[in-house]
Amino acid sequence: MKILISDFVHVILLSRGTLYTGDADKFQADIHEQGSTFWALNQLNQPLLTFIQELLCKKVIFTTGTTHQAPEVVADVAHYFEAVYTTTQIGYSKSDPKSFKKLCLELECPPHDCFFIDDQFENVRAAQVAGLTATQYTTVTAAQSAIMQWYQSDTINQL
Amino acid sequence: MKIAVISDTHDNSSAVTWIIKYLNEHKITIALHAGDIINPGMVMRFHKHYTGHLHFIFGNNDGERAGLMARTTPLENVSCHGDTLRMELAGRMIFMNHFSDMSQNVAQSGVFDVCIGGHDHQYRVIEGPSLFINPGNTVTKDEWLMQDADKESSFVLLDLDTLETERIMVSD
Repeated sequence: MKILISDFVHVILLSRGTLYTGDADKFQADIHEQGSTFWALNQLNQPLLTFIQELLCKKVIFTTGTTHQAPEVVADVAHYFEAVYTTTQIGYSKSDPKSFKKLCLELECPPHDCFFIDDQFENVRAAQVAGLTATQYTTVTAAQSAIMQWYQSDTINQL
Repeated sequence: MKIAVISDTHDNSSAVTWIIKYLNEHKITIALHAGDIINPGMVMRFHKHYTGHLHFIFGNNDGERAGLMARTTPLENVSCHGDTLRMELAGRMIFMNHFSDMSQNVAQSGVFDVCIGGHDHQYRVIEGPSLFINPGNTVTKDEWLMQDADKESSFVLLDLDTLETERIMVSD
């Protein structure tokens, strides 16, 4: 079984310009303070979501923040992903390879069968150290290419 | 930064012990093993005695994959990368697959800085679009060795800054 593990903020949920840390409560306060709306400041990464929806593998979120709990996106998260794991649950920061070792144990999946995507290089590196295939999110096209390379890697690995 | 490139240790515990002691003594904190470890207990030797981090992949003779995975997934200083390792170390992109034929072909692409393979037990370092390394083997020596390559035991130290290599002959 292959599992695609994705960061949430800046990969699945993209900012329309305002950078924030992924803390839902703080972000909601900022929205209120600015007299704005969630969707005025954010957008779902729909091209990437559409792409990964077609993949026949389990998909989960691994996130540091709580933005995935925002009422505006809860339904979308549930639609595209089977589960959400937070660093609070796992007990280690994503920059610590131990977080990925523990997440793989939780998922009951060997690290080498998991793919991780995150916009932070130190998190990607930690995942690689733990044995996962991982890529840093830069663009949708690059992400699709990296995911597809992993997704189709069974043939080469079975030689 | 220097890392160790090891392959085809084939259950030779005295050679593995020698290598681990060498790596600790020379403060080599990352070791890549290109497969054919055989006994999962060999990986536990790295876990218990190696002060650095071991990254390994499966070889064709690593039959007890489930055992290797179960033992190594919880370990902090050992990572199993399945059949193929693709990762960045010190700014260098590394590819490692047990089969040298495959790794040498990938090396021709130039996508990676370093490609590592094993399987045929034959030490060689080939410069090209990517640097290719087969570090040799540490097969247990006996009078009925099947191939000349098995008469010598070795691994390779790779300097990731300069991509210079040094073959280390193993005394076992």
